[in-house]
Formats: sequence, C-alpha cells, structure tokens
Amino acid sequence: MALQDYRNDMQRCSRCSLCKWPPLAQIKSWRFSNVCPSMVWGNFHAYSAGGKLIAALSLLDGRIEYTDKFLEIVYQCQMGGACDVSCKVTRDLEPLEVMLELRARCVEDGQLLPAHMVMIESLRSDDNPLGKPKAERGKWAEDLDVKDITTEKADVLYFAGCRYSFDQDLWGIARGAVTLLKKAGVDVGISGKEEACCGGRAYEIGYRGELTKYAEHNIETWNAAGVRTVVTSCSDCYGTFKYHYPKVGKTMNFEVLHITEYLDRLIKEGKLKPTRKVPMQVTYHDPCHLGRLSEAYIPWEGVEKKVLGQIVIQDPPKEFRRGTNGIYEPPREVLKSIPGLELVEMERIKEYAWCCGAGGGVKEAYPDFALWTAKERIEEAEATGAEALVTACPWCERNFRDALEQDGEKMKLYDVVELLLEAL
Amino acid sequence: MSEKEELIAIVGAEYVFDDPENLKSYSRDMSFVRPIKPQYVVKPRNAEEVQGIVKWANKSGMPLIPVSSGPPHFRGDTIPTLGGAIVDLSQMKRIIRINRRNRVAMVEPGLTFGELQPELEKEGLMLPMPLAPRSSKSVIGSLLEREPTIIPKYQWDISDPLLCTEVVFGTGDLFRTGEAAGPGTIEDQWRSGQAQTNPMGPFQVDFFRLIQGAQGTMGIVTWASVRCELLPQAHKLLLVPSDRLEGLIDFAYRLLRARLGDELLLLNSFNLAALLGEDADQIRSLREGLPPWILIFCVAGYERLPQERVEYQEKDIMDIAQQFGVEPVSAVPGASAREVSKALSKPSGEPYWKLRFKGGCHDIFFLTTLDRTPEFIEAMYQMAEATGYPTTDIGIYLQPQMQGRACHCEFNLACDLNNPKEVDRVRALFTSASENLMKLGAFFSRPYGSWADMAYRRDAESAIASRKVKGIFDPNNVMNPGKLCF
Amino acid sequence: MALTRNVYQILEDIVGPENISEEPVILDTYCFQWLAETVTGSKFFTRPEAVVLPGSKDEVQAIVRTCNRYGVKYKALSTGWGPWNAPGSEGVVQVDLRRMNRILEIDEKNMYAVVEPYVIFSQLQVEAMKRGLTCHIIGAGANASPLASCTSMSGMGLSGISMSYSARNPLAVEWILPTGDILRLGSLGSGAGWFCGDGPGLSLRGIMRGTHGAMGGLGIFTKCAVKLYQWPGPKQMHFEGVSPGHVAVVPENFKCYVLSFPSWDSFADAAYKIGEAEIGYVMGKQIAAGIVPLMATRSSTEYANVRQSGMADEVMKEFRYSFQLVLGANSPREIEYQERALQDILAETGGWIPALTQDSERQKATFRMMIKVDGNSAIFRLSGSFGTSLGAETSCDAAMVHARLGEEIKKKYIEKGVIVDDGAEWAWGAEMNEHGRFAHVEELFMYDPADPESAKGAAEFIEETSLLTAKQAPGLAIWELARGGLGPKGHDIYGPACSNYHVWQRRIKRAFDPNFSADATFYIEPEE
Repeated sequence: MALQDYRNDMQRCSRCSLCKWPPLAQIKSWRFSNVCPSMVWGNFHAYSAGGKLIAALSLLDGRIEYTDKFLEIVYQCQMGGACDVSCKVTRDLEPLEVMLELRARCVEDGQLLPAHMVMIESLRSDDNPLGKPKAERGKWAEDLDVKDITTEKADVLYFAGCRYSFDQDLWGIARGAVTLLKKAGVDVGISGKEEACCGGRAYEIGYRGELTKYAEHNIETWNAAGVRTVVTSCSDCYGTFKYHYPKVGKTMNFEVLHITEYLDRLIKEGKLKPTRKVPMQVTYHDPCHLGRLSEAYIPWEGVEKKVLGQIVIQDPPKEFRRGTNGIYEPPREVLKSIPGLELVEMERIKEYAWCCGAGGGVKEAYPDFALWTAKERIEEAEATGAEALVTACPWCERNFRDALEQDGEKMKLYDVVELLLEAL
Repeated sequence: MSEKEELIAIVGAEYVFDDPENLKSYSRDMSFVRPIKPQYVVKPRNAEEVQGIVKWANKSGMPLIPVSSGPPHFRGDTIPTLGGAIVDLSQMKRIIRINRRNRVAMVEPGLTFGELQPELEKEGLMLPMPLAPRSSKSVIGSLLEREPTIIPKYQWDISDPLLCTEVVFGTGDLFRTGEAAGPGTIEDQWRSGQAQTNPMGPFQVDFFRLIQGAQGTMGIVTWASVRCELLPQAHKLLLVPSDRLEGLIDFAYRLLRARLGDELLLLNSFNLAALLGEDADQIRSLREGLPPWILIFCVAGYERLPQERVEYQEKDIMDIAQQFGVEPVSAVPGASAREVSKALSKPSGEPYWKLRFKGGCHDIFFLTTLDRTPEFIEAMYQMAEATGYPTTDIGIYLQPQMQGRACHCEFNLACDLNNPKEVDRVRALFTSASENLMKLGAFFSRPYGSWADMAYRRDAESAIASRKVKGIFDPNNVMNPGKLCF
Repeated sequence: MALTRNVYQILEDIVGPENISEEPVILDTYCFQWLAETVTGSKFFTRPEAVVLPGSKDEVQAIVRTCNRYGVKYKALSTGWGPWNAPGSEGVVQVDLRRMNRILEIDEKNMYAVVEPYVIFSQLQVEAMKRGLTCHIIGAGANASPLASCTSMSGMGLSGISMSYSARNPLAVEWILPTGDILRLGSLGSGAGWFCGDGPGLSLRGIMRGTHGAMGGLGIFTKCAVKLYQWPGPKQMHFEGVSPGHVAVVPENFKCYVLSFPSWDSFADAAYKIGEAEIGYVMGKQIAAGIVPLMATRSSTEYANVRQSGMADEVMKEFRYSFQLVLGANSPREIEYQERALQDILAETGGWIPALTQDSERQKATFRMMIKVDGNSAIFRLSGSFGTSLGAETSCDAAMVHARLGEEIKKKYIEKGVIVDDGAEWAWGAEMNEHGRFAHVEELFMYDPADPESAKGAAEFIEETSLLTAKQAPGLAIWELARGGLGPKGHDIYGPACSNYHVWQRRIKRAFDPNFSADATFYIEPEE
C-alpha cells in the first residue's frame, strides 16, 4: 500500500491523543503514564502518532512542503509502536503503518537524513548499518566451537544480527546464547562473516528496497541451507523476520524463534536445567520488536465497503495486529525458572512497554533523545526496587548501557541469556 | 409626582411606608454596622411590582435595599448604607409549586422555613435547614446568603440548596437563571417534565452565582426553586462527646467521606446549652454539665427500607467509632438525643436561641477546613483572653460543608447590649479577632459589614472583577450600594 | 493576519525557542479536528499563527499580556480533542498547555486535588485511588483533562450520580483573565487555600462557566482544585485478560449490572427511584440496542454480519431501554442494603437483569468500562467518527423527551444512508447527577468523516436537532455541538427564547475582555 491508500485513516483520526498514553486502564501512576517518547520529548502534538497522521494528510493535500521540521517530526521517533497499540484498543486504524509509509515517501522524494544516509551507505558496502567492515562480522564467534552453515549442514541457524556481530561489549551474550543451545544438544550453526543484515532497520527508516533485497537474499540462503529453525537473540531482527519478511512473498521453509522462545522450550523439555541459585530481584524490559511489533504479518488485500449506512468494513475481512500476541511470556518464563531470581514488573510492560529509545534510526540521528528515552526507562526500573534490569535485545542493551554509563547509575543490566547461563 | 407618589403608583398606597417608626426599625440591626434610616419602605407583592420599583430607582437614583427576612437582622446587609428605599419582600410568600418526583419546591422570597416545612412534609419532602434559624428567617434569604445547612452530604456545591431563580437585575430587566431561563415559560417547562432542578446556565454563565452571596447588590429575586430531600421516615440522632475537639475531627472526616449519616455538626458545650436552654440560668447550668465538645449526627431512613437503612448505618458508624475511640450515645449530661433532635428539626423558638444568654450576639464566621479549626479556636481563645472576654461564653459551631470539603467555623459572642463597657469589649474583640483570623487563613466568604473592606483588600482582583459584574447588572449602582466592594 | 516578527520574538523570549513554532506542519496538527468536516467541509479549521508551549502561569500571563498589547488573539487548549480547541478565525495564537501537566497536591482529608491543565483523568484517578479516592470522569473518556472539563467545557459522565457533573466539581481556580490579570477564585484569592471556589461575596465561578464553559473565550486556566470522591475499592485495580478485551476484577462490596426496562417510562421511574434511594455509584445509559451486538463481536465486519442477518434482533429488543449501574459500598452491610433496595426497585418498575449480562466476565467488562472510562472512543470505530445532539441538563423525565425525539429524527438520516443504521435508538446519559437531581440524554450517531456526503448528513442532523431545542422546551442542547451546528449566530438564535441571556453574556465578554483577545468562537462573538 502507498501513503495515499491510508488517507481514510488520516481523516478518521479523531485527535483523541490516546496514542500518547498506555491503554488507559494500564496507567498505574502519574510518573509513568506516558507511552510515546516523541511526545514527551517534543511536546507539540505533531510528535504524536495522531500528529503524524495529520502531517501525512497535510502533505498529501499539498498544504505543506518538506522542511527540516517536518523531517524531524517524522524521524524523531523510535517507531516503537506503543501508539499503535493504544489506538487499536478502540479503533481500527493503522497509525504505525502510516508512519512507515510516511518515511518511505520521504525517502522516495529524496528527503534524507544525513545520519540515515550513512547507515544505508554502510549497508550497501558492508551489509550492516553500523559502518563496520564486513570481513569482521564473524569475529564475535572466534574460538566458539560452532558449525558454519556455509560449509556444514545444521538444523538450526543462530542469527547474530549486526548489533551483536559488531558490538564487542555484547559479544558475550551472543556467545552465551550459542553455548546454551549447544548445551541443550541443539544442532546449531552460524553464518559468521557471511551473515548479512536482516534489513529491518532500513525498512523502518524508509528504505524499503533494502529490506526487500536482504529478505530475499536471506530467505533464499536459509531455504537453500535447509535449516529448520532460525533463532536470533536480536529482537529487531526477530520482529523483522516475523512481520516484514513475509511481505516479500517468498515462502520461508523454516520456523523463526527468538532465543527466549527457544530457551523456554528447552527448559520445559528438560534439556536445560537451571539449578544454581541467582539471588537477585530483577525487572524485565519488553523490547518493542520482540513484543508488540513481533506479531506475524497478516496479509490482506481488499477494499473498503460500507454497510448499514456508514459502517466501514474491509472486504475481505481484515484482521488487525494489535500488539497483544507478542513474545511476552517466554522471557518471563525463562527468568522464573531461575532459582532465587525474583521478577518484579514495571508499570509499563508487554504491549504497552516504554521503548528503550534505540530504534527507528533514532540512536543514529538523535542520540540525545535516544539516551533520554533510555533514562526514563531506567528510572522506571529503579522505581520497582529491582537491582537489575533485564532485556532480550542488543539494541536495548546498548542504549541502556550508554545511558547508565552517562549517569554513573548503579543499576545492573543483563540479558536473559546471561542470567540463565549463571543458573546452569 | 413626588417620589412617594411614584412608588404608590407602582405598589399601591398601603404598601409604601415613610413613618418614623417603620424607618427606624429598618435603620438598624443587631450588628455593629452604623444605623442609617431609609427614606421609604416598600412592600411589593409580585415580580411586576418589583420590576417597576427597580426601574423607578434607576430613574430616580434612589438606592434599593432588598429584605426578605423579618427582624432581628444580624449582618448589617439590610441597613441602607446610603439611605434609600427598603424593598421588603415579606408580602411575597407563595409556595408556587412542590414537585415530589423531582424533589423540588418553587417559593417566593417572603416565605420562612417554618411556613415551608409543613407544606413540604405533606409531600414527603423536607428542605435542609441552617442550624435553628430564627423564626422570621426567609428561605430564599438564607439560600442567597449561602448559609450553611446541617446536612453536609446534601450540599454537593456550596450553592446548594439554591437552584433556579427569577430575578430582577439592577437594570430592571427580568431574568430567569438556570434551566428556568428557557426555552419556554415555566408552565411550558413543567408540561414537558422539567422542574427547574438544574441551576446552571443558561449556557456559559452561572447567573445564579452572581446573585447568590451578593447581599442584594445585583438584583432582587422574586422566586427560587430549591432542592428538597426526602423526609425521613426513620431518624435517629446520636451524640458523640469529647474533651478534645481533635478526637472528633478524624471521626467526622471518616463519616463524611463515606457519606454516612445525614445531619452532622459539632458544637461546644456553650452552644449546645444555648440551643437547649430557655434562659441564661438554664444555659449556664447546662453548660456546666455538658462535655466540652459534642459531635451531633443523625442516621435516617427514607421511603425505601427506612429501618434497614438506619440499622446498617448505625452499625457501620459504631464500628468506625470504635476504631476512632469515640462513643456515640443517646444522651449526655444535660442533653438527650430527643431534645437535640427537636432543636435541629425546626426554626428556633422565641427568643432566638443566640439571644437568650445576654440579649445580644455577634457572630464571627468564615470558611476553612475541619482539620484547621482547632488552630482557629486556639487563636480565638487567646484573643478573647486578651480582651477580657470569658472564653467560656464563646459559642462555637463547626459545620462541615460540601460533603466535608470545607467547614463553616462560627464563634458566637453573646453581648449584653445594655452594658456599654461590654459592648465596647465585644466590638474590640470582634474587630481584632476578625482581622487576626483572616491573617491566619480564615476565608471570609460572606463579607458582611467591616469584613467587606478586609476581604477585598486581601483579594483586590476579586474586587475588580466583581465591580465589572456590578457594572453589567447594576450599572447605576441602585442595588444596596455600599455593600461588598461597591 | 500573520504574526509580526516583533510579536513572535516576544513570545519566543517568553517561552524559549524550542517552545514556539510557526511551522506549517505543526500548525496543521492544531487546526485539524474531529467534526471539522461538518463545519468547514475539510478536516482543517483555520491555521493558528503560531503555537506556544508555556511552562508556568507566569509564562501564560506574559503571553496573554503580549497578545492584548499587540491585538493578537489566542486560544488555549490542553489535550485538545474537539473543534472548540481549534482557532476560530485568522490571527490566533494557539497556547498548548502540554507542559503544565502536574498533579500539584492531593488533600486526602478534604477530598480534592490541585491539577494543572494537561493532567488527564486517568492519571488523577490512579493517584487518587492510592488514597482511597477517585474522581468524576466525563463520558468523552479518561484521556480528557479534568481542569479543562471543570473550568471550560461541559462535564457529563456516568459517575455523575455520586460524583456530580464537572461544573460542580471545581473548588478554587487560578485563572489568567483575558486581559492577563490573575484572578484566584474563592479561598485561594484570600490566601486561605484551595477548598472553596466561591466568594468573597458573589461567586465569580458564575462568570467562569455555566452549564458549559467558555471554551477558550475567557482567558486561560492554569490550576484547578478538583473534588475527589470516596473510592471504597483497592488502591490499585486488578485487570485480567488481554486488551482490548481486558476486564476489571469487581472488588468486594461492589456490584455491576445492566438493567433493562419495558419502556422509557419505567426506565425513568427506576432512575428516579435509584437516585432517591441514594444507592448508585456509577449509573447511566451507555448501552443501546444497536450496540449490544458489539459486545459479542470483535470487528466491524462481524458486527455488520450479525446485524444484517437479523441474528441480533431479538436480543436487541431486550436492550431497548437499558442502563448500567454500579453499586459501590463501604461495608458488607451497606452493599446488602443497596442490593435489596435495587431488587425492590426492579420489582416495582418491571425491570430485569438481562441474562446475557449476568455472567461474571460480562460484569467485569462492564465494571472496567464504568470505572476506568477507557473504552468510550470505541464509538469512533464503526464508521470513523461520531457526533451527538440534544443533551440538555434537566430532569430525567424531560431527558426522556430528548431520547424519544432523537430517535425519531435520526430515522430520517438513517433512511438517507448518511449515518450508520444503529437501530435508530442510541440515547446516552440519563446519569441522574447528584442522586437524581438533573440528568441529560444525548442522541448519538455515527458517520464517516472521510465521506463528504456522510459529513454533510452529520452537519444537517446536528443543525436540525440544535434548532429544535431553541424552538421548544425541554432545555438547551449541548452548546459545543449547537455552536458547530448553528454557527456564530447560535446564541442569537437561542437567546430570545431564554431570557435574552446572550445580551448579558456579550456584556460579560466585553467587560472581561475589552480587547477581544481570547478567541470567542465557542464563547460568544460580538454582534455584527
């Protein structure tokens, strides 16, 4: 669909501002009652999802032209989708889709942010948006005794993703994940330096062609490799595989799992037995792309019809993704299986979790905003009394790390994998 | 035509008075406000005549002072500060309508509580009253003054129980406030089931709020609809004695919060004695025996399961009382529930209860919150001591309002009017206490007499805004000039 | 008339460069509004000249003074949901109070909270509930602003039976008058605190608002003490299930019902009896025959199928005259009394509890809706938008007249196909404020804002129903709709039928806003 195909949605926005808050029943305090980082940071209504729907309509109707401020409104947003969840509690609109279309339209019209251009150039030259040389991609797995699926067959492909591949501080988590899989007897392999970006971030910042390219390449490669399962520790990649990959129309002959899903399964099957005590009170941050944005793509093509006067229905009927079927329980189950570990929840969780701040190209284009967003989340974690914040995504991990370091905060930070390793 | 002839042309000769006796009786009241004689007393009998008078006043420049209640008056607001014509509404005494379904009555300004309640009772209704009002007190007069009523749960807004009004503004224009404004005549409205129970508006102005509390400076009300409640069919009064006020305050808050009970007020021993005693000796002797503080509350049942209602409320309140370490009883030394109930259920007998101790009385009252009242009481005691006024003679009345959100705090200073030294002492105490209490944070929301200057100096912006309102509704300042900030 | 650079600079100096904008994209997000298409034919009203985001009352005051000085109009908004927020003409600076969003104080004993403009009901409610209190929430939803509702708008909501209507809920208020002077109502102006909004003397709350507020036309409100009410439930409510089907556990000493009646007459009788028995916590009609199938379906398509197949017709008949009722008590004895009273009332009025609503999951869903008021924007779901009509605050009996009238008139528009066929009966309200003192009924309807014919039909329906209440009793329509339907002449149409209030209101406007600086589109405009 194109931006103009969403014109009815733009006109049907009622400017109710529900996109700024969690689903209202889930608000538990004044302090943690926002759900849209862009709005809290930017304040003008334009920064909300509803505001962006209006901006899109204004653009389509020729009321406005591209300006720097317009681009800021479009791009100063992590595309975390909390707005979409809140809107869809009562409405059948697609705010996040409109925002994605808006970015694609900006790129189509040559309205490019320099920080994003850098990411795309890097993608095109080295198959990653981080400006790192492709040759170094496999370094994270050096001396890790694991199959290389470019030369050997394996049942399961562990997909590291760009962040894990090139962010040395985080290598331990990726290595840990592979170690756990092997411990559980999984026939796992990796692509090493042959691995390429999932393409998800590029899609998010409006470069759809890149996503298509990587999706097609990856699906073909993995089909050809005969892997039955693709598992990743990166939530961004996971969400991309589940939501965007099916759009390119290639059959995926493999199951896609996030590492927390897989570990949960393995624990329940008795193949991993956490027995060592890890006495700690922790709180868990739901990554956007593992949570609300990971719901599988539901293909729909059809038309709008009116019945009973003015009721708008979709023909054929359309099922809306409302964010409630994300991967929420598996990470929690894994944590709960760790003896001595106590999980306390933050106020904004699951489909209405506050974003870590990294996504949507914000970490690159608006680093202060990204860090501020993370600090908000850290404060929320601290308010639970927990000593550690746990997550399941390297982008969340990186952004929280940077924020904690900047403020010299004492809160500990873990990935689910790290805690499980300690328990074995 | 002379002025008098012009007035006679409006209301008829038998309703215009300028004899010295009449003029003297309206020139003064029981307050410290300086007596000034009016030039005329006029007694209209309907809205048309009221309108005629007001229009005449605009032409002639004669100030008008509306009076609905009979004497004795206490606040100084009915004294003609700049002379003028008293507009005595006591002839307008109709009960226009009582509507049981919507629990509302429509009455004229001359009607007293004593005249209204029996008629309401016939329909199974009652009107929450102030504490033992004097027998000559007008219902509309009381409501327009925002006098506190003794059933806080029925006071949703401080304007209750006043609803809609018909009013002649100071310009002479006739207006109906609230939903009574229209569309349609009042009779049209009744035909479509309306009952003038929404006081708001019309639309974006609450006209009634501009008249209420205005001490007659905006216009003259010719009828009002008033919010009635169901007459209890079961009713039980209980007394909660305490040596310390603080012990009762939290208990009161708890009841108010849960909307338990109907009547709820706190009196010190002097005031309860004054309410029940018939003369100074009786009051003195009752005061000796009564506990220093008494919280009075009632539980009631209406038409539906009345006994069951009283029963569950009483049990729940007893549970709460235990938690707060207080004990509701049906009698304390000197006062039984039956006697107190009788005193609360109708206007005061003669003489008016506040006058029985010494013949005169000056009241200091203001709004605050119940939790701050001990502070104000302590301050009052100190000031009384400093002026030599016996603290044991101070009557104290605390009336939670707006379902517990504010509290009317009242100090009654009995005064022997025949003793000039005492009068001076009370005057000095009245003045210094009023000023000091205001400085401590007492809100004199009803600024009578000398309080007006004090209150508006403190809140100059309200004075400026109020004058703008005055400029709209009474541009020629004919309505009770010299009151409030006008 | 564009802002001069001089004025823009002054405003920028007041709020800081990051808090002012005249970027067209930002301006458009303020003049885009719900219902705009019924007035202008497009989603947009007139663009503001600039949007400013003040952070304090001092900044608000400085902005207002500047506008007065330089002949610029302004209009304040907080969450800004509805056409009354948008500029009514050229030359308006939009004052977005987004940054003033704190709960300043909660006085638990004296049951009020002091809030800034951008606090929403949800936030106030959860903080109040921690202290065993709650607040009245308007029907628009808990995403609206209590300060805006209490000072400037209307305020009907189903908690009205025990928590009144927003006009009755402010205590003291901090108010930047149209000229820029600061007026503190009641006890606040006398330095005595927040507990009373009236006096000294006459009450200037009467100027602030009536049944409806000035909707931006009388300056800017920066703080408001809002009444809180007893909440005999848990400090934090518990929810079960998954959105949007999540439900609220009904706490001890609460009961939740849908009650049905055989006619409007018995509906009204029961409403009166419940009011005077003083047993309702939340009560009102938020259900209609055409809405019932929504309870059992998950999408517009499913809903449409069920309706079109006639499968729901029988069920719908049962809900023709229904309202919801939540009982909330402080003790087991109290809830027992309330239930007994309710049973007696049902017996006397021929009412019943529909079987469909008796299951505990359904009750939990109703309870959530009634207490959290978080699902009301679902009214936009089926066709993209909704409108409403009539709705005078009056006696329950008179409100029933609105229910009957609304249905009759709606049938015409349904036949034309310009609004949703919701079965024609969709009265909302009957909330028996203050245990039955006054109520209202609005007739809701749904239309598609993306469809010009539908938008036009909506406009005509609003106009017709607004004119109706000007010509005959009972009562005046909801002003903000009537203004949309009748345009600037609205007050001149209603005034002569209502004691010529419009003459006085214009004088008030002139006296308090001599420079006509506060955008008066939804207040009262000068005579031609």
